[in-house]
Amino acid sequence: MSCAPYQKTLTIGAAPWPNFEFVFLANELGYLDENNYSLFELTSSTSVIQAFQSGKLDVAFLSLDEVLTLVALGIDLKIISVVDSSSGGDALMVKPELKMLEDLKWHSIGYENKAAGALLLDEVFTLSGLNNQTVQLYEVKQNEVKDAYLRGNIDALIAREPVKQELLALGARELINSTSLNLPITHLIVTRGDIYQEKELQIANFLREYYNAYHFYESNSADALATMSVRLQLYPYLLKEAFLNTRFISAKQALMRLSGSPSNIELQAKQLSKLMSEKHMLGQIQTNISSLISTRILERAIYE
Amino acid sequence: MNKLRRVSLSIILPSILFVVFIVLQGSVFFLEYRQAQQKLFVEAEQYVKGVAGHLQTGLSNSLMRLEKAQAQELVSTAALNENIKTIAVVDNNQQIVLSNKFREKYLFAKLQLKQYDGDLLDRVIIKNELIVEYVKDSQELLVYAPLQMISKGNSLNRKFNGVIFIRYSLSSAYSELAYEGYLALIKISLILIATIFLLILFINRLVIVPLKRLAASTILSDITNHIEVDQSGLGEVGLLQRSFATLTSEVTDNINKLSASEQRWLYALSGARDGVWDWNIDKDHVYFSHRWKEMLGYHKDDIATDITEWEDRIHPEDHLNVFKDLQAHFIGRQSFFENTHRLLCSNGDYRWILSRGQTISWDVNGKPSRIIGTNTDVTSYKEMHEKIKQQAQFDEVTELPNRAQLIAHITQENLRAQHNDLHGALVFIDCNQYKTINDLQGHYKGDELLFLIARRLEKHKSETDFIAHVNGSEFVAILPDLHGSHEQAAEMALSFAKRLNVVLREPFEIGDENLILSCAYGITLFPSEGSEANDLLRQSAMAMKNAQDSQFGNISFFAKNIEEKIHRNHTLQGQIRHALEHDEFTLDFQPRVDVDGCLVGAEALSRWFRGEQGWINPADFIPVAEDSDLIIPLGDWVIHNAFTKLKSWVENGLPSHFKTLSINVSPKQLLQQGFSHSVEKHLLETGIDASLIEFEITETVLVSHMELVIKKLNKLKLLGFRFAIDDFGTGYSSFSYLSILPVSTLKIDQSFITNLLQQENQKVIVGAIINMGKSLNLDVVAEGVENKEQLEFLAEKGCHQFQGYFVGTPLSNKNFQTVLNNEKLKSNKLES
Repeated sequence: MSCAPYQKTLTIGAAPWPNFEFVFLANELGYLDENNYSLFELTSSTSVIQAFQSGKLDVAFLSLDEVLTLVALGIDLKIISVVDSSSGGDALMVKPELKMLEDLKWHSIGYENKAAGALLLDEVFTLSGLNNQTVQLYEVKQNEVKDAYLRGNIDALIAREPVKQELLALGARELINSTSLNLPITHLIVTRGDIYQEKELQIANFLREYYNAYHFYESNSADALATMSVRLQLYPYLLKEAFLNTRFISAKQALMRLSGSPSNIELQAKQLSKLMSEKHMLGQIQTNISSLISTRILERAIYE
Repeated sequence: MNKLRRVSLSIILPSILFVVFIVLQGSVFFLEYRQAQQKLFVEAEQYVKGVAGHLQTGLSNSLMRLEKAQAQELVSTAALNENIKTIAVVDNNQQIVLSNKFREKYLFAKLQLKQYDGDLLDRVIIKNELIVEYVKDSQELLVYAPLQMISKGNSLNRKFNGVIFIRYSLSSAYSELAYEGYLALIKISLILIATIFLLILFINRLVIVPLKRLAASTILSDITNHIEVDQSGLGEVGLLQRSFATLTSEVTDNINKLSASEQRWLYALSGARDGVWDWNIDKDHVYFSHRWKEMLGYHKDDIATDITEWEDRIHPEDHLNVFKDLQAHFIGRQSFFENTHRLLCSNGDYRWILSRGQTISWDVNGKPSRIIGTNTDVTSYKEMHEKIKQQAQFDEVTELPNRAQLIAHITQENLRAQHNDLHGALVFIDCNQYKTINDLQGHYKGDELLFLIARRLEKHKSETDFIAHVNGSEFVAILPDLHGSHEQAAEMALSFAKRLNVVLREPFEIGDENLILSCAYGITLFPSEGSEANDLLRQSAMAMKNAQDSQFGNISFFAKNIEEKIHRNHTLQGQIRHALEHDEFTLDFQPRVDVDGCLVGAEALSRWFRGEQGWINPADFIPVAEDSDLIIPLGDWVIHNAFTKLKSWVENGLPSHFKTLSINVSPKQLLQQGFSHSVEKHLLETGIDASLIEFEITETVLVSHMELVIKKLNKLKLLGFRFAIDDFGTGYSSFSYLSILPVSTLKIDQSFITNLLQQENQKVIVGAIINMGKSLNLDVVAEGVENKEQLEFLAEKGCHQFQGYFVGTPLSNKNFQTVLNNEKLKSNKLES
């Protein structure tokens, strides 16, 4: 029986996404103490959202639209950092025989409803004039994308990195990607609103180690890629390709994006929420967006 | 232990509570913790089993439909618990098919999975058995659950079985449990401390403070004043306070009464200036009060607590009395100890102390164990008493015994004299000039004169004499035990008076004057039949008044006959002296004859012819000569003359049967130092035959000076002299000395012979004397034979020598010479 004050582990969860992998890299590098941190390797954004929603995660890695979805559901959370800005990380991948968006008419499309892919599907409909009457839609989660493509019973799939690289490797055609969207897809680190003050130090340490792992990746790319690719069960070069479609935002930059009134992220969020609301993808957001942002933890991670 | 007893209850009670609580709570906590741990374990086991079951179903479905991604998601989702360290699906080749850790997929389970026991795989698969293991060291639950799965080949629907391996860690749950337990303990402890604090506060307020106040009220120094006791306490404390208030009130009252009583005693003692002593006999410890010590001139610390401090200071003469009185008290004869004795003071003087005490406690044996008493200084009282006593018995001016004491003394001496058969005298002295001096020169000088007279009287009295001052210039001297003879006593008293007369005639120096006194002396002798002390004193005073009529000028005797007799004696003594000087004495010789009438000897008898007065009777002058020392020259004259006469007789021729010339020797003469020498001198001068001389001595001198006399007689016997005891039978006729005395003759006193025939007892005595003489081989001579009958009786009894008128009256030397001549003729005729 130890007399040291007992501290629950910080539960962190993320689905596969190139810049999220630094979490697991940090763990592999031994930056994260097992007694303080519990990492959950989840398969899709849906799993992450559900786990966060049910309180099983303290810290989650999500995209801005996914965060807004949670906020709209009334989940109490804080955005504590910005990971990256996707530039083509999400894409509509089709069988090689489909050449144009219009070709998709009367075909089946698989997408993950709660994830950023939904926005891209909407863009596809906008650009192609198709709708859910003219195409058959299937819910295919990120981890199921590869299997679905391989089975071949779904013609088009909205995939994201690094699965996108795998599909490309399998011969799939990329018809459109997130660069086509007017808005960039930004990935964030969020924490539950009810614990972020209590576990502030723990979270700040985590962020520091996360960025440390990124630094390791920067200085030891080959090693880092090799390590990360083992987890993702794909070739390192594919992972390297995947990274090219993302733009990592350093800690200090992230702080800048979160800072200010209104902050960059706040503006993005407002824009995105407006857009999503218009497309009936998002319920009414009652919360003031700025109140969702906390820079304090990131500041501690950077400066302490 | 004592220190602990003094610790406040406000600390002890909460401490006890605290300790008890800690022990109880610790035990409860430990038990609860164990129970919770157990519960946690059971819950975890159920939970893990549940997860395994859930996965068995979900994975089986997914895998059979070849939905591997879904299966992986199931695994990942199921692993969304920080305690689940591993969820892995392992196929029958020990390959990890699914895992919550993506990187472990497709790797060899035995190498990758912590705690995984590959040996169990077959058992799980074949027996389709769920195995749950607990690894104590790492506090982990391991579950091996069988799983129906589809081959990874996906080509055929053949069934392959695998295992779901779950590693569930209880350590953080246990830690959390412990942490919560600690937290609870801390909370409870804080509550406890707060409770104890409150308890201390209340105990302090309700119990300790009132008790302290109560205690404080008991240590008030002045308990003689009523103590205000706070009575506001609750419950038992209030009860205690009220009881204490009642107690202190009673105690104060009692103490006040006691102290009043003590004060009374204290003032009484201090007023009486008495010292107090308290002797604890058992412990041999004595308390002496300050005053006790002060009385003897000591300071507080000078005297210790030992009884010897007292005992050693008691005057040696008083020691025994103190002890006796103390004993008398201790054995119960006296209910109080009381004794007056002298105690030695610091300055070496003695003070008279009246000590009184009483035993107040006894030991089990009934012996006194403690006695308390007081000492009172009675020195001044005692001195006053002594002075009064002195004054009662002594005259203040002369410091001589006064009349009262004189009377007492006379009474005593009078009785004593009667008893001892000795005579004493009372000499009354008066100084004629005193009244004149007193009148003319004042009392002071008169007193001074009396004082000086007293001193001279004291100086010249003998040891046994007693001098007292009677009145004015009158003094009285008691001269006890002067002499057995009335006359001698008178003589000695006279001599004393004469001596005083000489002494008192010497001038007295008073101031610058020389006073010459003339005194008168009155003498009375005692014992006197029917005379009391006062009578004797009066007689002596009367004698003094008549002193001018006295024969001795200023000295007078009360009994005139005595006075006259003494006077006569004195006259006679002068005449004897004169007679000796003028050869007025002559010697007569009384013949001593034997039965046949033959002259066998003679006794020399002194005769004094005094011109006009004619012959003086020897019975008159011999005692006078005896009383004065005149007997010595007279005796010497007799011896010398007797020797001279014998010499002339011998020269004329002595008849052959004449054997003895006896000469009387008075005791005084015999005892005289130069007697033997003088006799020897006369013997040499005359050259007579000493064996013809027989000295007659009296029995009296033999009795009083036996040894000296025997010595002298033996010395003379060596020269040839013989000795006879004169007047035998009249003195202290002790026959015992006859055997050791060198005597050859007994002369029966004529008083026996005079009434010899008339009184039968005289006959017996005379017979006895004769028989005794014969048996001792002594000559026996009967004196005073006056008739034939006497002679015949004596002869018949065996006495063969006689003296007396019947056989021959004393004859002058001339006539005796004639008798001698005739006797010689007669004897010659008989012989022829």
